[in-house]
Amino acid sequence: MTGHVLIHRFHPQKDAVPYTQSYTFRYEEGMSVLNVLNQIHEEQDPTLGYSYCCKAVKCGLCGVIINGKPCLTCEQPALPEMTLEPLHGFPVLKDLIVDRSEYEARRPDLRLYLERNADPAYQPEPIDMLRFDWFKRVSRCIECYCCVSVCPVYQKNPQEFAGPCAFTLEARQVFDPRDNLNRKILLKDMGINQCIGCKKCSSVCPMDAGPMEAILKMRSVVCNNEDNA
Amino acid sequence: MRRVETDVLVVGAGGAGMMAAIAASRKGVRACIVSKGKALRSGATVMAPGALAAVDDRWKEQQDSKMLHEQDTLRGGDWLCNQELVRQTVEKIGGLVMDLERMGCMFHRTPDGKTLALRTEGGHSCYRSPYMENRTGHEMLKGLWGEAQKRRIPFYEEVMITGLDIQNGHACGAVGFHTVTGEVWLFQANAVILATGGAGELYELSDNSNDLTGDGYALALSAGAQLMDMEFVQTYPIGFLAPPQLRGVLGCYPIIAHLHNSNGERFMHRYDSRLELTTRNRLSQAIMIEVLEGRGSPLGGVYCDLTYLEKGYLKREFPALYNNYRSVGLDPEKDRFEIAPTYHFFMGGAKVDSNWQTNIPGLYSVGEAAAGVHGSNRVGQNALSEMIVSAAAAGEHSADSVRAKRTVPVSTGLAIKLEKQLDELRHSGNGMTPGNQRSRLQSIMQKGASVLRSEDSLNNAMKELVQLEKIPVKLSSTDCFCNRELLEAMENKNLLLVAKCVITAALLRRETRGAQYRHDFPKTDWENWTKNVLLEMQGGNITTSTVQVSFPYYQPEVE
Repeated sequence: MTGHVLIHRFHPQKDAVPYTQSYTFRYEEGMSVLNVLNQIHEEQDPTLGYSYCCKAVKCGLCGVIINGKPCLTCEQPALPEMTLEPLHGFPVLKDLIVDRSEYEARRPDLRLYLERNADPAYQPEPIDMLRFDWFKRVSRCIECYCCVSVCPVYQKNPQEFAGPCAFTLEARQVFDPRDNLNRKILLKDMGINQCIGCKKCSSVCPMDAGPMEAILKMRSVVCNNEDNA
Repeated sequence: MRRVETDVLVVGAGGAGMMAAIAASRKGVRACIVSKGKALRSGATVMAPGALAAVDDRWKEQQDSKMLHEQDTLRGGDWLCNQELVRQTVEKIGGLVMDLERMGCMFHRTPDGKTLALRTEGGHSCYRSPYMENRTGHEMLKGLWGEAQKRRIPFYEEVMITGLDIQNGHACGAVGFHTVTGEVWLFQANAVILATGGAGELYELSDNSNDLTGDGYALALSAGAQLMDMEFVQTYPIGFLAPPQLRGVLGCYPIIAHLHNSNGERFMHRYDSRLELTTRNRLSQAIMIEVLEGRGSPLGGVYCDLTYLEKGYLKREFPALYNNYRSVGLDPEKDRFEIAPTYHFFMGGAKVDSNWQTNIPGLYSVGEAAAGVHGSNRVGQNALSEMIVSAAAAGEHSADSVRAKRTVPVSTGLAIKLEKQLDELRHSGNGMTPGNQRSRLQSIMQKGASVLRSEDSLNNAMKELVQLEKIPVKLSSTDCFCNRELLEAMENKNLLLVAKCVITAALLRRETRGAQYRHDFPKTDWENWTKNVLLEMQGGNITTSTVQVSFPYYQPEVE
């Protein structure tokens, strides 16, 4: 069966504005969108730009908007009719490849490492299993930015709201029972109070890391003046 | 052109790369990481699900011991392992697990939350492996990356290193190019640590990520270092053959899989009384023999049957795997699916001493890029252990040794040469696309140098490779910017070299042992082949030699 796909193209050194290119492909049941992109790259257009690496939902590199919804191309089954665009809210490097460096530049401010008063542990530390569950869930985040690309608050106001992914990364530290750093001020600076709870982020997260749930849980820490959950 | 100066240059940002840089940095020298991909978005560590084997008094099973871990590893490697390196790995990994926790990693706890929970796998005598859900590697990376940020270790991402600078027999730097801008980068360093992982991209069916193209093996060999055990490449026996979305991905665990050939026979009873619970290599070999003898499935594998399991068992006990099946519309309670061995891990790599230093002073190789710990076949869960121990050792030793050195300026000629090479590649007139070149290479290797090998199959593969190498490569665009074909073409050079290494070593070893199965020599030849095969580049050709395995701690248990 022949499939049709419209792909966003843009080469910053050659094109004034982006355009859409149409391709046909051999559609087979059980193909992922990545399989389609690879087929096109190998057989028709080696200049097509897209990112991927692990092909197994682990590296978070292949996020793309497929028929209006952000997904990982390695995970998303191909459809015979598709439109592919780069993730919204990021500068486009080429075609479907976005520039992650701006968003990544937020990370150093987040102090994404264990910060503690106590002496470092030389025995495995006992862990409160409830705190552990929150920690485990948000730690699944693979920074694919699908959540960021649908967040209405981030899209409108990235200067004041850090976006769901940054909060999810920060949440790992907040929920780490060993971490003593007062991250409340950090969260306030990241704009945690601006989340509107629309849940778009959690609905597109391929790892079910629960960005919105994490934000709301952390917000209760900030508002209720609890000490680090 | 960009130029970076540092003391210790680490090539690769996976678990081994980051650990090595951290270890060097702790000794007070400048360390930096250069990586072809982006940290946590490339390589194998981020994909590692399972666990890392680590025996330690603080959490071990009562009957377990480091000695037992050592023996399991040596038996698994069929006694070809470097016993010094194995000893170091089992000795140090426990302490390093705590180190990782102090860096921020958190491994699963027992239900009361008090100590580390443990997993096991085929080949281990006890439950001995801490883990985190089904993303142990990812968890390790989070801690390591955090520590690297704290220590302000610079990461130069998206730069592929294409050559090392060796002057007066000593490593003094490296050259590479940025895969987005096309710019050439030159690195000045007094020590170089290769942490570049394996080369799953050599084969058609592999569970590796697309960037594992054996760069470290090619770099080391071309720089004059010795490679060892290159013939031993491990397959994970049960990989999906279909649907296309899952091709090559881990398909099932031997502990529950019943494998049937095209006659509906559960054929393992003819190969091993342990049936599917035999060792990974034997399972892979049995499957491919069934295929070879005409009892395979349409796609060239065998059938995996889970329909015998009690309803709901799979969803309960193996939820991630069950979800995988359902996501492609497969109902394992009703349907069988086709599977075949999928390429997974390289036991071989650069030959290293007890500091994981190669025969070139200043050049180190760690993790999957090094040989020795796993011998002819790796036991599961040992890869993450080797990764951390080897990296810590090399990081520390390289830092100590750079202090005593006078800096030798890296040769700028290397940068000029690379610029010219990239330029020529982009403007070449005729030939095949790098994508086609890679597909051809993978097909040749899958056919002639995979699970079942013979002198004929290997010689044919070599002939075809040599022919393939003669065909020039033509890129569709002369672009510098985001030119994926340029990257593919440069990677293919490494793949071609590594392919020839695998075949050369496999041809020489006239026996079956561990991951190597030779039709024409189906027995293990303890008398003549208790040796490692060494490869070296001389005058542009791969030359071979062998070295007797030494047994300082344990004598082999010969069947």
